[in-house]
Amino acid sequence: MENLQGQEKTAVDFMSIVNTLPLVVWTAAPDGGLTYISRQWEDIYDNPVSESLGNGWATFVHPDDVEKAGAEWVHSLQTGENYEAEFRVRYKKTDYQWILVRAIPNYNASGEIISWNGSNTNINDKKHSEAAARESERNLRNVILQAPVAMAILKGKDHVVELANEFMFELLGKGSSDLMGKPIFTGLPEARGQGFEALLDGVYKTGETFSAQGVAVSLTRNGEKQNIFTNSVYQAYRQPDGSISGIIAVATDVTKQVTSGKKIQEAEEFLRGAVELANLGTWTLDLKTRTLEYDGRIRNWFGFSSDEIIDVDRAYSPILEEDRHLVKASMTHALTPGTNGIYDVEYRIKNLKDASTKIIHAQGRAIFNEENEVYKITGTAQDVTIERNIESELTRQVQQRTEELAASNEELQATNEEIAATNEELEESNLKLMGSNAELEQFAYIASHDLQEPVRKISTFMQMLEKSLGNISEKSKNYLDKINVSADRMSILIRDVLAYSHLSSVNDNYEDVDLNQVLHDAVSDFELSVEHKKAVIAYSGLPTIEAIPLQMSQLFSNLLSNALKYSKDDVSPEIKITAGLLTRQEAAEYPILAGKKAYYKIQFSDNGIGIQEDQIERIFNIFQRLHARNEYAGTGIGLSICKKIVSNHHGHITAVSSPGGTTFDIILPQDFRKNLK
Amino acid sequence: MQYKNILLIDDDTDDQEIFMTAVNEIAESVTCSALSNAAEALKQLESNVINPEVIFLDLNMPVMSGQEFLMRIKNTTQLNKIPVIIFSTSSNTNTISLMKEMGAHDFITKPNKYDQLVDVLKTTLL
Repeated sequence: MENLQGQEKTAVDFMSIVNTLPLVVWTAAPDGGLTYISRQWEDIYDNPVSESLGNGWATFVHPDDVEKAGAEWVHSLQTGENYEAEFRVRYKKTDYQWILVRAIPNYNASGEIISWNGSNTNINDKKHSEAAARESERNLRNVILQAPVAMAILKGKDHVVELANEFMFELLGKGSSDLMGKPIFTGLPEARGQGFEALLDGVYKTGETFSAQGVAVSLTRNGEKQNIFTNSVYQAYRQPDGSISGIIAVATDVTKQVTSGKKIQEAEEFLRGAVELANLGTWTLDLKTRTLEYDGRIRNWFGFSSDEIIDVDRAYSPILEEDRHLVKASMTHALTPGTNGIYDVEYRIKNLKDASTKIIHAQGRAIFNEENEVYKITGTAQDVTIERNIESELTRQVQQRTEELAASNEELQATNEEIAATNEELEESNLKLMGSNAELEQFAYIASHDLQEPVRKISTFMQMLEKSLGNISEKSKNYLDKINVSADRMSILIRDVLAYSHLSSVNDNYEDVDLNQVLHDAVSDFELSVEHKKAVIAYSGLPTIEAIPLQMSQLFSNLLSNALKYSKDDVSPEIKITAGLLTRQEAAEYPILAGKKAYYKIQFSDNGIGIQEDQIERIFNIFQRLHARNEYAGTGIGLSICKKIVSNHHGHITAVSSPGGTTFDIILPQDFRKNLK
Repeated sequence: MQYKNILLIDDDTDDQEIFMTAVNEIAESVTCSALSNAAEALKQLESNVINPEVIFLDLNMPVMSGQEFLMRIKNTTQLNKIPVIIFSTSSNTNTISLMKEMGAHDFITKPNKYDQLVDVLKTTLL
């Protein structure tokens, strides 16, 4: 009994323990039906114990969990394995809550299950925190995958890539298969040795976030080695319990920004260099505050102290008063809408401190805001004092030189005037000379004309005298003849002088003259003489020139006459006339010719007695005779007339002679009046 | 003889003598008168004091030149039919053609020889 009592007491005690446990305990038959449920059941669950015995418990299990929970219970019943399942059951106050159900079988001596002992534990809180963790992990993954920046999770001390988004693959230039599930430095071996190992290890060990801007990374992207710049953050990836399980890496490719930033920096540096090099000052006019920012250089030029605040009015003070309107005008122009906004002006300043003067060339440009209003003007200024001084010095020198030149010109002018005066005098003298010549020629004309009259009368009356005398003595007759011959000679002489003087006084018209025709006619006039002396005269291809026809006839007549007259007694005269155009070079040998004309050289040669060399100069002189009258008849005027005619035609005549004959070179212009172009 | 009444106007009396001697040698029946002043000659012609059939005219004369005389006579209706033969020392072709243009019938240059004068007058007058 004691045992029983003891046993019963034990059973009572056990039950009271059971009923005070913070959990529900139960027993089940081998078929699974509940045979006992502890008292707490009804306090907790929204299901009476009576309805929960047997298989009734299933009715308050969450419909989503009941099948799984049932199947696992059946499995344990059949296998005898411990049952352990988590599912939701309906609670009295709070709807469904998670519970952990555990059951272990009781065996008899023969090893058969005789019953199951089970217990239910509320695991609702744990279950929820787990879900929350899962949720948060899922969310993190989503965030990472959908992030607009490159992100990755590296797990463990080897930094195994657990997750990475497309941006990360893109940034690293690798595919998913290259990186996923591999330590980062295995999938990305080129990243080794750039300091990332220590960086990642540090974050993993200390949990301290590392962030950096514009970090240069050398990567092999899509087979090509590239330098990129990234902004990156490496943060510890912590478990719910706070322990570090890995690293979250976030990176953005800022290569473009960095390089363009570098360019801007370089440009600014370049500009600064240029400003320095050109000794430029920089300035900005802020239109809102109406103040000017001057750099040290400008402040120095203008005499502003380094800390002085310069408003617009103050800014004008160093500018010379007479130049201020220039500055105002240019500023107004730059500020006027619709203009190019360029400020460009040059003005003089007087240093506010030391009163030194400078010439400043300032340039600037209006800066517009989004409303297209000018809010500031910024630009440069340059000290151009030296340049302007050089310029004005140059201008002064040019001025001086110009004046000197003008003076020289005046001198030259004076000299020219003197020359002109001299020329006028010369011209006057020439005119006088010409006048004298004309007077002389006029005298010769009148003299010869008037002389001719008495000579004519002498001749006429001589004949009349002879007739009236009738028969006279031989001696008387001889005297009369001598008088007649003298009179005839005098008459011829006078005629020739008259002809010579006449050459200058006439203003005959120049015409085209065919020299072949002229020669033909002249030869005809000497027909008798030619026949008598058996002379041979050859000419052809003579030119047609512009000349006075009668004078040409006279020229060739005189030459023919001479050639026939001064022939050798025992030799038939051979006279040859040829012509050709003078080359410029040949023409240049005769300074007397006008160089601009075309000239013919006519050669008139004979095989006559020739002229002694020392006499040649004299043959063209008037009344010059080389032979006694009884040897050769003539007045000594013929060649003078030839020379005069040639000279009238602005030509030239010379003679060369030898015992074999004489050649006259006659040079005459093709066109008397026309010059060559 | 074509002309019976000849007038010579020449201020040179020597030439007048020579001319008249030559004319008389050719034909004694010819009346030849000579005047030294062309203006006087013109007056006499206009007033019919003289009525020559032909006039021999020197050019270079004082008071009135032969050229002026020729021009006057050719502009006088009653006288412009009388042939005028220039008798001058000039042999200038321009002068000759000018005189002929002005109406001179012929032009004789005074020759150096008397015989030549006789010959040329024979040709002109006969």
